[in-house]
Amino acid sequence: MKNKSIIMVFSILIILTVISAVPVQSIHYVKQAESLEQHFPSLKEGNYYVYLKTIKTNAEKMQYTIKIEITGLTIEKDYFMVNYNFYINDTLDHKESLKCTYNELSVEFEELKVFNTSAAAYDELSKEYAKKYLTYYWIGSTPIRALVLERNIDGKTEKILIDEGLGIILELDLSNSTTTIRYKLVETNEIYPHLGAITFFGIIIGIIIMSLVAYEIKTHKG
Amino acid sequence: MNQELKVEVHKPWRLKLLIAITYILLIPWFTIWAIGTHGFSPYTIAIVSGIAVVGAALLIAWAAEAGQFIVSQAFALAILALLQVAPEYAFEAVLALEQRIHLAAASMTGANRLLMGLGWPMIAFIAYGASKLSGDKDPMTEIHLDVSQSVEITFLVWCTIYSFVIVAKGTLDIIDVFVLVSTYVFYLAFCLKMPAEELDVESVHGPARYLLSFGDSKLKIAITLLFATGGIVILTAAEPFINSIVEVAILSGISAFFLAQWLAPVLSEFPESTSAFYYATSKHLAPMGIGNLVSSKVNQWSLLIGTIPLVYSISVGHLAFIPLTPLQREEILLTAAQSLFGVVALMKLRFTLTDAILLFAFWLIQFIFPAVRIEVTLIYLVLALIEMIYYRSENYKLFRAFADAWKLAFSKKGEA
Repeated sequence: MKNKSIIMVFSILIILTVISAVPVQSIHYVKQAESLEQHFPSLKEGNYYVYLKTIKTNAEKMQYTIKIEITGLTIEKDYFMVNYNFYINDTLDHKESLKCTYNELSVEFEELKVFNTSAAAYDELSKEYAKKYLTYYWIGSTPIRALVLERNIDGKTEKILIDEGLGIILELDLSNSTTTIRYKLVETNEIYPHLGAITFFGIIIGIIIMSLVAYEIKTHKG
Repeated sequence: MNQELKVEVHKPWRLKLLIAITYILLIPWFTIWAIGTHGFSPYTIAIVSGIAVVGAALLIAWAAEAGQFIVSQAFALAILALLQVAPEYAFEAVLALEQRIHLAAASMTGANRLLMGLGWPMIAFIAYGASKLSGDKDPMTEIHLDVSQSVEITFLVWCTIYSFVIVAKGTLDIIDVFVLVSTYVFYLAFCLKMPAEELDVESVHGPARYLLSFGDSKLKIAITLLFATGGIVILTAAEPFINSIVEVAILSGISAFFLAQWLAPVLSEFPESTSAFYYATSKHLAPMGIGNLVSSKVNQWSLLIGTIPLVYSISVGHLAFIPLTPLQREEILLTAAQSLFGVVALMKLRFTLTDAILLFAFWLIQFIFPAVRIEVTLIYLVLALIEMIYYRSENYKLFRAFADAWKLAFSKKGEA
């Protein structure tokens, strides 16, 4: 009986090993795919970011809608490729491919970037800026926790708000004495705009229940 | 509370065989572990370590069930209840330590929703089916809860409200650790202040019952052995299991989020659900079945979530908060909304077949079509509101029962 059990267990083990030997692939792919998901969570095929770009000078004010749509993401051992479409006012302006390494601080889509969201990357990033603090930002009724960074380069002030969870730029101000360029995120399929309102609805129902419990504790004689 | 137990066991050889088979299931894992996991594919490791985790969770569950008869009530509440959910904690701890927060959130929300969306309804379905099969003219269409269960339900209401706050904050941080761990400690203290209930040995079944038929010293040795084996397996297999299912997911094109959300909780919750489902087969024990799963839910919503930021901070080497992505927030919101509907359904201290069908149906919908999570969230909240208004005259049963329990636990002597 004992011998039979041992033979059975080892037979199962051998069969499993043989079956699973076939689809064994590079372990690097797995690790890199995961690190990408963890460090650049909003960098997904099909995701898009829509920004309102405003250029203000003493003479005039111009406004454009910029849309960056990720059309492809290829994972390799040492690098990953991002393909994107760049739209200005809903018209395709150009298509682009970026080759990026996994430990990069940010992936740059023209003037806009998606930042690496790991804590270490933020610390590294904040060294480049003079000021760093946290604030809340709202997209619709969704509260976003944002990292605010500020710096001055060649007489130009740069103020940037980054979503801490997704590494997306929420607001970017580039200004000097004559011109201000502002990018403001108005839409992305990563953020559901009514999340805050639904959460509030849930909290209200919960508070009603707890108030009734408290009232009963106070008034009920038992 | 060491007591003389006289337990009769029907066909003990079956139970011996069950324990032996469970131990045999662990052999492949120990073999792989001894050789080293590097030579094996993720598929092999996922299957072998997954089976071992289920085996270990069963051993721990049996030991904990039998153990409550040889230790004090305080110990049983504080330690044994925790040991029973050790596999789940192990999975979460591994994910938080490795800073895979997206998967930790997936597993945490999946485990919560599975328990309420599948576990709770199954109790009602089994109770109904069992009473119908036994020829009962009046099949069990609802389970009446004991008034003492108002404590768990009310704590669950509090944890649920707090989970909405987490969604609003958008982070998991040290404040959550403080609030949720304090909630759990307060819950334990509350339970300990309540009059001790007589443990009924007749409610114990399966291998745990077989263990109770041993003499006192033999019983202690057996329980220690089961805990030790289960503990070693959980410690050694949790991390390889989690890593391997993520690898399997990526290699086979399935979402790692999906596997971490549903596969890990199914395995870790299997043993505690087995006991609860067994209780559901008896009209007399069915409330205990639902009570067990409500306690598990309090445990998950308080201590389990509360310890994630703590483990994460340890992992990064300083006090850190976890920023939640929109997907994680939506997932926690959906789980909180389901939890709210679940607790509102229990406020009348009856769990009806209709409640069970609704919980199960919407769990199934969001399981098959994850993209509709916001719509399902709204439906849960609206259902909670409707149920609250519709049963408004009955809901006071919970509030009164809790008020009585509160006064019993916290009033000075003679005042209660």
